[in-house]
Amino acid sequence: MPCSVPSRGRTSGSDGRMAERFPGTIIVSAVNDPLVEAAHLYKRFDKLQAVDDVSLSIDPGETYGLLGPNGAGKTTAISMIAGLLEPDSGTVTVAGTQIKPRSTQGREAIGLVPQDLAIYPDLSAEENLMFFASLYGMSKRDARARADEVLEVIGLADRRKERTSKYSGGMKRRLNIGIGLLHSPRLLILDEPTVGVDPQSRNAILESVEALSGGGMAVLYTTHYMEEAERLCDRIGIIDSGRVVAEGTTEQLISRVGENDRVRIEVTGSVDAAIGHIRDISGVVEASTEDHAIVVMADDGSRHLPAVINHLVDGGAQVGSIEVTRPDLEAVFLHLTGKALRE
Amino acid sequence: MTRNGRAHVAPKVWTMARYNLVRMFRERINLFFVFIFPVLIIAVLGVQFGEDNAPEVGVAGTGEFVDDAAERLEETGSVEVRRTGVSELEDLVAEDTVTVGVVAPDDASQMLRDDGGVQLRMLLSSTDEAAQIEGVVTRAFESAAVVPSVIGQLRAASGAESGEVAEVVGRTAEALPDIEIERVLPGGEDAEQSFGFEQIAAGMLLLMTFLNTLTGAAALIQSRTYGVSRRMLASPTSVWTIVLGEGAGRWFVGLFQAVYIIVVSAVLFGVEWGDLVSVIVLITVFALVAAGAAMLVGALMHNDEQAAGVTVMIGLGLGALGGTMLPLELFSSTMRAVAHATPHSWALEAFTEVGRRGGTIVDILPQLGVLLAFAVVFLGLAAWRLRVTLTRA
Amino acid sequence: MIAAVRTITVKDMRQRLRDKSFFLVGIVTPFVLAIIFDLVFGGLGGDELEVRAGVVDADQSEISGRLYEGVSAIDGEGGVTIVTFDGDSGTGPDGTSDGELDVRSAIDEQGLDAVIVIPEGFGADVTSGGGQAPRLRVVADPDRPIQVGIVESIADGLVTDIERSRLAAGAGQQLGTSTEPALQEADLDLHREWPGGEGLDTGSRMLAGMVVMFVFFTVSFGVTTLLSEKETGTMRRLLAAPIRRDAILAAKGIVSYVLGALATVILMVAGAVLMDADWGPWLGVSALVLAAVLTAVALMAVVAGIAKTAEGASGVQAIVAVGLAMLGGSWFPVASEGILGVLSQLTPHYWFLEGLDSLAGADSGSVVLPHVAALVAIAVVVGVPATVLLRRRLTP
Repeated sequence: MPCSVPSRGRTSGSDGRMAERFPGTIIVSAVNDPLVEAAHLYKRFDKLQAVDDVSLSIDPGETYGLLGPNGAGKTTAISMIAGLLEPDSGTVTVAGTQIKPRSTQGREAIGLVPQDLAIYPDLSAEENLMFFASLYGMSKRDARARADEVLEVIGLADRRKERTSKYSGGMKRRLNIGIGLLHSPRLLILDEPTVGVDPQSRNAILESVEALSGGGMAVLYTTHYMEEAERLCDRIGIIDSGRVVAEGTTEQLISRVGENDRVRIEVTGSVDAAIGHIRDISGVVEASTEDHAIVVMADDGSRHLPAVINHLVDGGAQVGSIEVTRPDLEAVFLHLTGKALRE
Repeated sequence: MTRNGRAHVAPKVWTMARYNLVRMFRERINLFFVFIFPVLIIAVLGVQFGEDNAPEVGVAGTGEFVDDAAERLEETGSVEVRRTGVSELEDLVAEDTVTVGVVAPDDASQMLRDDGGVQLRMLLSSTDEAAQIEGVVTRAFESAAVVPSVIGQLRAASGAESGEVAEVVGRTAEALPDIEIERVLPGGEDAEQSFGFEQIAAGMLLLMTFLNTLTGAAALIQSRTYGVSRRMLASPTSVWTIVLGEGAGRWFVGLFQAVYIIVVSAVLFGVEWGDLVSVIVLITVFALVAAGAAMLVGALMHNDEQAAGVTVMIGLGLGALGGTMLPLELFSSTMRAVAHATPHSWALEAFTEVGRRGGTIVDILPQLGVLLAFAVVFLGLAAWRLRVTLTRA
Repeated sequence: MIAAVRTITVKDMRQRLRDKSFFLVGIVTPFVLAIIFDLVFGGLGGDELEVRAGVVDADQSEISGRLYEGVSAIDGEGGVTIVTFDGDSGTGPDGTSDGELDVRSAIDEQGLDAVIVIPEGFGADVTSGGGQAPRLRVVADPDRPIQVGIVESIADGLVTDIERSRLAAGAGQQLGTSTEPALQEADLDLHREWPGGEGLDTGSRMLAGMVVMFVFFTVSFGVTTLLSEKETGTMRRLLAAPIRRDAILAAKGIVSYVLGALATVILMVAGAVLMDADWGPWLGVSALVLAAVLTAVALMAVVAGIAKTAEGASGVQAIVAVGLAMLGGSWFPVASEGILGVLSQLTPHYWFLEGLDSLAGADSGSVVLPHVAALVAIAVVVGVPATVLLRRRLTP
């Protein structure tokens, strides 16, 4: 599905800063040109069409979330964007350079943070950083200065000399991300960085991503946690079975399933009499029964709650627990695919 | 920002090699395999094949004939003679200490003079050498038997008194010059060459260097399982650079180890390796072949344990086929053809050319070319395989 | 206790057999190596060494003719090929200069290891009885010393015959008798014996050497799981279970032992079937195998008992396995005297290989009793401290 939702890129002053970081680079692209352009990517593994016509574009400074369940094709899609996987067809352009698996061109613009740890356990954090700095063509002096900065950002400065096999899981994750940041890429790709991470480290990771995205760097973030996508991403693409089924800001996506809250009230006793009255309340869009519960869709659920409860009590029912759910990406996903995001 | 990754190949390879070595020597056990193990092997072999490498021949019995035969055996220079008693000799041969033993009756001389045959017991150990030196031993006793048996023959024919016959035969034998057999090289020069420990040392050098370098496969497999290789590929680094970088560390180690073996064997056992420049170039190229093979195994295998088994199999197998354990000269013609499919045989040929025939680098250019081709093919296959492995989802 | 041992044994056995490395390191690798070694070394002991020699008679005398015939007659015997050159014809080496240049091209072109050159005047020198010593030349390819040695030995034998008849003729003349210059082969009656048994043929010995070297690796997989289970945390579970600690130890020991014995038996049977190895009385062979695997378990266990981590243990085990194999004669025969000999006799490899050597061709398996006793002694001396050390390692 081609993207139809207009992007609302943030490009404020970021290019100047990039030029500073990469002296000698002439940024020829106009301010409004997207940094990443992936066009009509396809990838098939045997019988599985893992990626099925995925197109997306990310502006400089923008954080783009690719949200979808496990196995939706997120990792395959970003592997192609990072140049690790040859698409069956389609092209990827990052910062004006076409990314091809058999060429190393344009790779400096990308920082990849793989889902699984990709660090040497028998080297220290500092050694890991210096190692990858060299692979990204940084001079020793730049590498050392930049490693200091990164170690500070990921909070490992005081344990930089220790072998990473002695680190906690969260520390390893942070280093894993730090290596991706090291060469100040224009695009940071984070593949499910919070999977299997304890809540505390997870929060630290999310905070650092929030902080980083302020600096003009574009971020491509994959996750199957909708809270993360909502919190971090300027724009979200919802991916399922290899296809981007919807794309836009959180508000835009939610508006596609309507603005109604969902009120679920557990009841005992008869509700048949009450349900007609509830439907007549102005603002209530729909009311229906589930087993031992009544579900009301309304434009502002909590405002209508007293009236709904009155009708139920008058009708002779007894009210148990009450749950008001505002519309979210979970609901969007359910609406679009008929599946829950997390099974 | 460099648009072109090529500009950075050398520093990248250097970085990869450096950290590869750091990681290698953080595993302390590798220190043993690089520094101590080769010396142990050379020491054991040196003691085995060093100065005192001639197989022992035991001789039991007394008398003129036996003394003469023992002397002739000593003179061949290819065996050591030990005079001993019968039962002791049987034990020594049984435990393979003495390779071949000969038991002669004490009155053997007399028996020959009496124109009777003498029965000798030829005691053979179960070693391969026994079959090889059996002929030498037989010849020595046959020569020693000439004089007494001619005495016996003539005494019977002439009917003369035995003392007189012995005196005449002895005098005649003295007067007749021995027929000499002279070994010469084509061209006429003397062929007394040293053949032995030099060749064994070259074989062991190639075997150890290849085997030890081959264990670098495990390092590449580790990089892959850590996810680091894939991450490297996401950086502006080509798969060729990765293969070269991962291999370079082991290449240095292999080269170092080869130099180490050369120095230790030259100092401790006086092995002469020949023209230094040629030898250095040769081991440099050979270590590169080994590093290439290591990368290929590392790209093909899936886990450490598998790689360990395959490493030993390839390292020892190719070594044996290539003539590092048994000189190529002893191979059958079929096996010699097979041997040329191994890098070891080419390197050995080059070592022979440089060490024994005083060749220089020009003389071993063909071998160096073949070895370089091995290296390029191994590295190329490794790069191809690594790309396939890493870019598979 | 028994039930617990059985449960852990079955579990470990399943894990090990599922892991491909048992087959790869335990069976495939030693077998492939043994086949290669057999191919390379197999032809050594027998007559399979190929020797190509040439002979040229530049003298054309009666004596030289006899020598020439004698050499030619050997053609086809015991892997020796003789190429004859006519001393007069243009194709052969030039008689006047001994033809070294042509001999060189003969060696190069016809792939000869050596050429026996009977120089002009040889016959005269032999019979003249004084003056110049007769000389026979063996022109050698310097790269093929062993084959040259065989050619020399052939020449040597024939020269002895000449010396013999010359002496008989010379002395006979003085004594007034003429004797037939017949060769008296019967002078020496060589009776060949093998006091230590003929031993294994080269291929079988190579296979045996590889088998005993690799059984140490095979066994080490089983023993090291004691450490890796600590690392994965499952050891805590085992220790928390209502079983005795000795049960864990016993199970690990049994698994290692059974795997080692299994690999050894498979390899030796394969050797007998595929490589025609003749191991001798099966009772003796079995006793030897069972005792040797026991020492392997004990030695690998002692390393596991000392090592800190599973990885460290594997490294040291590799050193021990390779080092002992080298000393014990798995790779090449080691001298039985001197310091090396003493060290060699401390290795299980030595006793295993020596035992097999005496079993080959033996009538009864009992010849191997001293070897089995030595192996059991090593196993006990090493095994007892190993058990103590490993018991201490059974902590969470």
